[in-house]
Amino acid sequence: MLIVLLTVFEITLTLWSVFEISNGVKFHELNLNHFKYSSQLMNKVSSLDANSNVKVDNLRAVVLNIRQQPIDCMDTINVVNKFIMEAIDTDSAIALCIQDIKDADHALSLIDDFENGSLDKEIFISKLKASAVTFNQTSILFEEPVSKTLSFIMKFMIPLVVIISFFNIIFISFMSNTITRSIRHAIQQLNHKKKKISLSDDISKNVSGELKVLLQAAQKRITSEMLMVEVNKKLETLDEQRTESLTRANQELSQFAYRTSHDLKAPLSATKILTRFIIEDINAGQLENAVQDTQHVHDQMEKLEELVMGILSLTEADSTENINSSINLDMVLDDIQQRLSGMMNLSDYTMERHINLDHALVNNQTRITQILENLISNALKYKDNSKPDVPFVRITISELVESYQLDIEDNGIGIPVDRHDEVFGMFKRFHPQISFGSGLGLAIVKKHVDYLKGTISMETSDQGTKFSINIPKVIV
Amino acid sequence: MKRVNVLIVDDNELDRYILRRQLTKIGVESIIEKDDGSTALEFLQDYDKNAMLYPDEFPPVVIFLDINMPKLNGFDFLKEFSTMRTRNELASVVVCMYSSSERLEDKEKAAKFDFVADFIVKGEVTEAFLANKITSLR
Repeated sequence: MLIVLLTVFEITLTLWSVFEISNGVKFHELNLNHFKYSSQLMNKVSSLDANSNVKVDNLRAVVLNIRQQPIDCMDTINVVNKFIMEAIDTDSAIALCIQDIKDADHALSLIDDFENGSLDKEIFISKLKASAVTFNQTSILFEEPVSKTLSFIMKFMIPLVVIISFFNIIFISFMSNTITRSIRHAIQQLNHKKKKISLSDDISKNVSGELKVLLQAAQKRITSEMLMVEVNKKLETLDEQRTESLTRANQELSQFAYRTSHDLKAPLSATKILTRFIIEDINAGQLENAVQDTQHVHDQMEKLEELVMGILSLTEADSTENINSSINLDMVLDDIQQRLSGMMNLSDYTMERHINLDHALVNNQTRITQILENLISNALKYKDNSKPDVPFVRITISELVESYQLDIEDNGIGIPVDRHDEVFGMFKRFHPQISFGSGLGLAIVKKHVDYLKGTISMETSDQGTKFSINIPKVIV
Repeated sequence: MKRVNVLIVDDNELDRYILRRQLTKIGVESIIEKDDGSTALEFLQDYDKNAMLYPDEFPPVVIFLDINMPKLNGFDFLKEFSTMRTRNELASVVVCMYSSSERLEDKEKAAKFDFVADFIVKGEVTEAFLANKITSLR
């Protein structure tokens, strides 16, 4: 701000000095004219004698010219000029001008008197001569204060302008130096990373003034822009994830429809042909064959039934209402055993239960039941008859701090190593020779576990298989 | 009917039983069954051994091939077999797809192999139909 004021003052002073100098030149010119007309008057008056005719109009014109110069001079002089002239004691020039106008008026009145005839020619000439001399003298007198004023301006104003300019330069370089230094200091401070201090604290601590405001504004802007970029990135990722999961769901659905229709149709087609065989065999009297094929038809129907049940529970897994209740696990396991005994002879197995809970398991009973039932039924189906031990399934349910752990372990035939990643897919059967399942069991389990936001893992070898499920506690 | 060696590759025991019975009925005598693409490939790979072991039934002339099989499915089998048949005396073997799939996509995929002669959909097969096919395949 100061620098602006100083510069404006400097420019004003310079312009004013130039203006004053040009004024001084004008005063000189006026004076020169004054002197010229005075000389003209002198010549004209000197050439007058008693005999010659007096050209009054000519004389009047010259005197008017003389008079015009101080008038112009008074017009040119302004208040500041007047003030300075008074200050440096050259105001005599103004007085001279005023006196000069009066003298001119006097000369004019002489010419008027002479014209009227009220003034004698000889007296008129001598008086006019005296006037011309006065005009001449005024011209000479006027030169001194004008020169003095001019030289004052030259001597005083120009060095002042130079000094101010010089000061200005020093001041500007000092300021730019200060700015550079404070910027450099700020850069240095901010470059030096401090672990505990945040950037905004760092700025407010080490930087001051307008630079601080600038840095804070920049920081704010950058932060908001980075936030924007991050938000955009997140939105993009979310969009990609949604698209991906939608595509996956679509693929799964079309795969599901394909496999369902295939697996539904296969037993029906087989049965259709088998019944024709049975008729042929009965007609041919080959009743043993007919009985065998009827058994096949029965097996196919059982398979179909299981598939339909599987599909139903799979859709149920999606539509089951999320109602949580306190689950009596012993009762649930009793029911499962009851149902499974209808499908297979359970006296060949041992089933162990280890339930270690401080509080009753609160969760969705339908889902927990289906998880347990599918895993237990798998364990029983894929028993290993080649092992000397009695087939067993061991169910361990324990309470952890924030979750429940369900382990279902068996000593069955295990799942082939190279197909572990397919385990939870739909319509996957790994033991076609033994399987009579729909290939949906583990897919159903996985779906329920996902709905319960739990995790499932598997360890399997030819020694047996262990599924471990972790389900977070429901916040009541 | 002229003697035709048949190989059935299907993981479903019942489907194999049905096809065998139908083929037997139309007069096909030599039928070998494999329950997966992988075992069928091994069987064809051991050409010399199997030619000795089954002098009358090996090599097959027609392979009935299921698509959905757990270890090596029908299409995987076709891919492997297409490289295998260039070097052995298997070049004349034709494959007849035998699947419950009615998907056009599957049929087109199978038809890309020039040794795939036909696509039979399970459950739509009658003995007369089969006899017709076998004769035309020869």
